[in-house]
Amino acid sequence: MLIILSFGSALIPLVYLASTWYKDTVTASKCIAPWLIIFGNVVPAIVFPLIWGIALSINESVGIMFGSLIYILNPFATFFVNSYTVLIWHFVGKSYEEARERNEEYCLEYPNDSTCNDLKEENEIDSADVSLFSKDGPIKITLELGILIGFIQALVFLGLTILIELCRSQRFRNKSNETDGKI
Amino acid sequence: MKYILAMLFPVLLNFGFCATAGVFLLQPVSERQTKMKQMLTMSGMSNLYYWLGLFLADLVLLLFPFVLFFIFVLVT
Repeated sequence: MLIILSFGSALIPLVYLASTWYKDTVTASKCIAPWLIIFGNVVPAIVFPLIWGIALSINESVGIMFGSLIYILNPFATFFVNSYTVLIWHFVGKSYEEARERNEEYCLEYPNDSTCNDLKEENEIDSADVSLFSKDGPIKITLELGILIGFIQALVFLGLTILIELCRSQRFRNKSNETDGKI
Repeated sequence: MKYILAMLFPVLLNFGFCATAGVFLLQPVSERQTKMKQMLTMSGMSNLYYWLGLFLADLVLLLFPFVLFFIFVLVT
């Protein structure tokens, strides 16, 4: 239940943050969908592989660092990776686990078989996780991490929205103090 | 095929969210436009509680498509 609740929770405060730019509902409802599609999905999908490719060609660690930053900063990217993780583990992970169990049983039965070692190696390569910030770093990109980052993003965006609203009301108060008794 | 589906479905979910984002946007903008929020603030409502309440209400609204998504994943 917590997974479902936290799934894409950062996207709502992002919309709230965008709502501070609009003054009327008609413009807001017309503009928000294209704005989110273009700047949330299309532009990152075009720009990200280009910059990532350039960063990888310079240095592999720079590319990984850039990818990690996009994963943390862009709530759409986090949401994409989370749903991809759920689907890939459901579709591929199950059959992979079954195959690994079968291989383990086979290797116990025939430990001297040469194909058994090959299967072991294949399993080791398949089970490698993607790390955050460095190639073999301690922090792996998992669903739990994605949900945690989603919650942090939600808090940050909500905080920014509240801060903008507070700044606006403060500006209004200052202006009204300036004109107080002068009109 | 499974890899394609696993890749395509999150993209569709992202685009689906973008298309329905207006639902979450309408309330704060209309409340600001009609000065409803100003009235609530003058009545002593905290800014934090306003946004937190709105967020929780929208989170419940967002729950339905994601429950459907998880049901789809479990069924297929």
